[in-house]
Amino acid sequence: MNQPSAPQVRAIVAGAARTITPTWPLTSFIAVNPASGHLRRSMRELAQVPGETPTRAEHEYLRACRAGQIDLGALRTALLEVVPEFGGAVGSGIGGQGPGGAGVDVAGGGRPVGAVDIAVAALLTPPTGRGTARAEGAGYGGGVGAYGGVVDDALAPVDQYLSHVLARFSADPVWAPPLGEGLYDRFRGLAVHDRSLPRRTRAMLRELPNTAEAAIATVLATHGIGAAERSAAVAAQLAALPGWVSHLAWRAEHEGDVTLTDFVACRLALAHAAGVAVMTSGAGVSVSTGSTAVDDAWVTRTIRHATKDPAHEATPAEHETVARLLAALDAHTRAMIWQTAAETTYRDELIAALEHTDAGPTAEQVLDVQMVFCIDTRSEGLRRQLERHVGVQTYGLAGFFGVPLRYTGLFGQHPREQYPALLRSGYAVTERANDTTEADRVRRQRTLLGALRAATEQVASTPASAFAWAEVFGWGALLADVGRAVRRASRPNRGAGPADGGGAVPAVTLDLRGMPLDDRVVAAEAALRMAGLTRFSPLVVLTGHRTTTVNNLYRAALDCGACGGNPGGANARAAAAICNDPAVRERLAGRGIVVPDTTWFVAIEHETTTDRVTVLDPHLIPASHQELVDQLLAAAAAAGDALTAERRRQLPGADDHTPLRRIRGRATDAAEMYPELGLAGNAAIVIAPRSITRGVDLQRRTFLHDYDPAADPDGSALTNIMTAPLIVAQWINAQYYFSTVNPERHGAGNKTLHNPIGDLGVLAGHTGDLRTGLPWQSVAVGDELLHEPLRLSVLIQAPLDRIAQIVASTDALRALIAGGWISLHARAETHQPWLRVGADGATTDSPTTERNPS
Amino acid sequence: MGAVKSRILRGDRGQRRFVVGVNVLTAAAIGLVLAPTMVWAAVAWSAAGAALLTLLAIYPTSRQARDGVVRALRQLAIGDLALWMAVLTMAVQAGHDVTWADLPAVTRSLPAGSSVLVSLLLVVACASRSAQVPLNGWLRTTLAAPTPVSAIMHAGIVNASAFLVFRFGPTITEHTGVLAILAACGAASMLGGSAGYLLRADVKGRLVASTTAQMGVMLVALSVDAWGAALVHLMGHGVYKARRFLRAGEQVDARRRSLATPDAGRFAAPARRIATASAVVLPGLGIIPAAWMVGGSGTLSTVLLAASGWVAAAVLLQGLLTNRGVRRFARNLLVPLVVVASAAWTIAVHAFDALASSDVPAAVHPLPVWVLLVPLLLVGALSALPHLTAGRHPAVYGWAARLAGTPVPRLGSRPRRASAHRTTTSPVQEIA
Repeated sequence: MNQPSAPQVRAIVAGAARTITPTWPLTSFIAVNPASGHLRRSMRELAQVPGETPTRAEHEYLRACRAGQIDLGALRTALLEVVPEFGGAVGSGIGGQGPGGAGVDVAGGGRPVGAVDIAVAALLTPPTGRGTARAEGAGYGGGVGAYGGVVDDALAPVDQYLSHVLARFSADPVWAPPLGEGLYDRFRGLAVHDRSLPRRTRAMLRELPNTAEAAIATVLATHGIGAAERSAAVAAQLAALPGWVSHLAWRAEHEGDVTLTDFVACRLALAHAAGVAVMTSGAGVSVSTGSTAVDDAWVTRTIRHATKDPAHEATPAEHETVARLLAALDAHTRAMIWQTAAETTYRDELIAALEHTDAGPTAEQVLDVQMVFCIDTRSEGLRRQLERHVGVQTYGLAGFFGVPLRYTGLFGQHPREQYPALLRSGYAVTERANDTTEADRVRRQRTLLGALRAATEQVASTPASAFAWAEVFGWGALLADVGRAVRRASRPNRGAGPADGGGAVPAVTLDLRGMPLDDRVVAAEAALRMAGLTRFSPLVVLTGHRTTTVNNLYRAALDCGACGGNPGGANARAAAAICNDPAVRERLAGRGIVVPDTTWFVAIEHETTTDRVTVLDPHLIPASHQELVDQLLAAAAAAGDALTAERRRQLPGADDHTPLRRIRGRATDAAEMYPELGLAGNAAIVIAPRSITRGVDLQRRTFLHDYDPAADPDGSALTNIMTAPLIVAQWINAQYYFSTVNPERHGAGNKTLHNPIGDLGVLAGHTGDLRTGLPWQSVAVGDELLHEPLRLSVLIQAPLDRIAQIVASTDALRALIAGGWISLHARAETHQPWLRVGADGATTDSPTTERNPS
Repeated sequence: MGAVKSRILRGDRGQRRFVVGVNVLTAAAIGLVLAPTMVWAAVAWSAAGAALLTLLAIYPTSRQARDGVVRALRQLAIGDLALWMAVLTMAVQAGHDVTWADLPAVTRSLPAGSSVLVSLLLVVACASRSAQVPLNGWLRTTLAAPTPVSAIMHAGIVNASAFLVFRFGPTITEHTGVLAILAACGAASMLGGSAGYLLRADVKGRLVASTTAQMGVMLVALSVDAWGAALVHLMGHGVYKARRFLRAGEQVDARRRSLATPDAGRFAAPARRIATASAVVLPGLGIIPAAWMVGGSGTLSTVLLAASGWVAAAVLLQGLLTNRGVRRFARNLLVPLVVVASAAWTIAVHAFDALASSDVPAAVHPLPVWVLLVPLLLVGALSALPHLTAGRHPAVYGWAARLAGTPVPRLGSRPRRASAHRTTTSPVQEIA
């Protein structure tokens, strides 16, 4: 058998790797759409992919419907959206010439019952047992599917061994494995000497070639896998440890020291050497698409439900007609209809709520301040409360404020990549202290502290000294804990400061020289136009956000996603500095954006765990604006209290009577699994002026991006919004969605089981695959969901032809809409009806939902 | 502590089982300490084991957890069986349940063969509960239980064998040969656990390996009659390990902190060597005068504890003195501080030993002290390996991997049988 050449092997791997989504390490954990590799098909078709599921289990929807969370009218709309045939063809095709051409002659109290009614009845009384989309309880994240991936028992030890070896290579054990040329070479070099492997396995590994491509070719040839099956065989390797593969895909892109070809070679070599078939025929490909034969009992139940006659005896003809209708409703289709219905219900309520906006100031005190927030759903709460308290104008914009940074703090060792993952790079920005003597003093302190930490770490990680260290540290910790308890009792509620530096040196200025003036002007103009901010109040506040939480591996998921999973303060400071720069302002004026001399930009940071805001760079605020800032801060404190009081209702383990102090104490509680709920509940993005949402309680479920067509003469701002923040919002939405509906594959499992591999990811337990996605505690508490999984509903208020043109010319958007990954509704002006926008950009009247016909 | 742990499991399906299990476990641990007779001790021992298994099985749907529980059940059952056989043998000999005061007499009344057998059985019980070689595999596969379970287990269950030795001291220490077996298990565990700590990349896996090593040093200390040292170690390690487990989520915080912390680097070769040499010597300036002050060399326990304190202080000082970030002022402050702390440690362990020695019985026929020095020196050599050129040799690394062990089922142990009979279960299922 002829073996494929090295380039051919690489091409096969690249082809098989197309569906893989890279995942970021925990330190810069940012949302990715776990299904981004499948965007070429529709979301419904995801059900055909082994290990994937596009929806929740059917019984969960039925429960939600019974609880009134899914509207029956919305269910009808969803039915017609998912299976349009019910609106016409199928109905008339089966002979019944009922009203509207879509009827079936099932005599229900003398009047014919329509196909839609029958389908709804069928959805409400689904078949039990076989044919349901997923088994009960499978959604619980307590370590189900513990070995990760598509479980194949013969290969499980291979995958577990591989996972452990990959951990040694990728993380930082005290004793790192010997070096080699690339991952496969290192792996082979390690494995042939690893005495925990059987002798025979080691010998077979030694016989394999030492380059990845040659090894793949050899193993495939040895196992008789011909050209036709090669892609499938390689894909099977990649599907074995999806978590590690996603990490390696990231590493290949960002560090470049590994390739997926290496991984495929490692697994094939190991399976081969372990004497296991490298590809079990049809492994994991059996996907039940629901039985095609329609259950008779279901038909009978449906007819009785539809005719509202519990004793109805259907004629054979009726029975057959209904059975043919129900054949179109297999388990996955039914679940998809329910999912769509849940989204329609939510969207209808959202759109109805938008009718009751309240643009006028209701606050007793009105400050002439404009505040720009991140589009993050958590900003919605603070914006609403602030508007209620001080009547400020608020705007929504991606939280990096258009300034991508590679930010190195005053004492930083490495730049932090503070930009959205869509961008490839940022401007190198550093910091310098105004008072260098003071900075040097603090630097010496920090260096000393770092040396102390390194030294204690060395004592703990040197086995010879670890014996004594356990004694000394243990007794010391015991005494310290007692001391801390006493101190806490005498002085309650003293929170710790931010863990990652900053704040210790008073006046620190960002050094923006890494960003040329031209780029600063372009960035400022783009950001201001995207936010629709072209007339300025005396004070413009840019609000970044951060989380404060301890002992939390997933803290980056609670930080600002637009800033690469980092606190957003640095970006807000940079944007403020740019907008305050006279040179920038002069150029901006030339481009039609006049910032008055009396206007000052201030950066603040919203801490989402405690809802406190802090002013950044307070030393830069001119005396003329100080009073206004102070007034704003006082109001923000009150607004923050109101927001925390609002949030505590949803927090597990808290209720309306929990003191705010206790809620805020979660920020420093090492045992707290629910410091805050992050973006749980996110379901929609509204791209429109704030006036259409102002005064409406959106329950922190919507991303809000401002858009004002008047500020965007050429439509470039809208293009930016629809191709960047919209896409990022979809990633976040998809991450929460799939972490909820498919926690075994796309969730990180139960937090209490997490066993960190350095800072790059976790195992849920002692073995298994690297986990991807969000932990179960981010989306649920026990069996109860905190996050209702809904695909992103996009509402845009902008000129329709502009939207159509952007959709039509953007592949990513077209794919998202065509595949049903998002829904897009638009209108040109306030008070017009919302129209549905299709993948071609054309608008259709969204079918009006009748509310609760029953 | 209990409140903290139930908060971690808020809303969790296993919360109720967890609370019940922890309470039973605590009661059993207290029972073991307070048990008036050996049958009561055995009952408490088995109750603790059963409660532990319940806690490990908190997520019965997880296959990893099931595998782990089955493995733990097997290896712990061996220990429990051994303990009960020993206890029953002695009870039959005495004709009744035996109080601790009567134990020496009953032991002496046993025929020589049964006496050795009973001691051996007790050693098996110790090795099983403390995850000692060769019964150490179960501890590695217990991480599919929530963090608080690991914390309790490593803080208060695995070290129960020290109490067993305390209680059954007159029996176990009767035969030097049996003690030698206990010491050998402990020494092998020290090495294996240390290798595991060095090689494992997962944080909790590293902690598990370190527990095996720490329990090993405790048992070897017991076998050379350094019982006070074992007691200090047992309690200190318990707190230390529980804390490390509960703080396993600090990886990302630590990483961010280190990225934001300036690093001045290390001194170059000559200065570095001088610093290392002084780091080795300096702790002695505190320890030797302190030991002399509180009354000469002290007991073996105090010598061992002081010596291990010396090692820790030396490694700490080495880290500090070779770091450029520790400037002269800090150095002038830190060196005396470490010296004083070493002295304080020496005095503290002397005081503790004086306090505890009245309660802790002595070994009948202990092993000589060098028995402890051998594994300690080997561990010392192992600690140095990663920093030496030899440590980069694949064969050396491969042997270390063998020593370290793995929670992964042995690869390829059954594939030929599996392929011959397609219906045979896979290795993973066999473990389950």
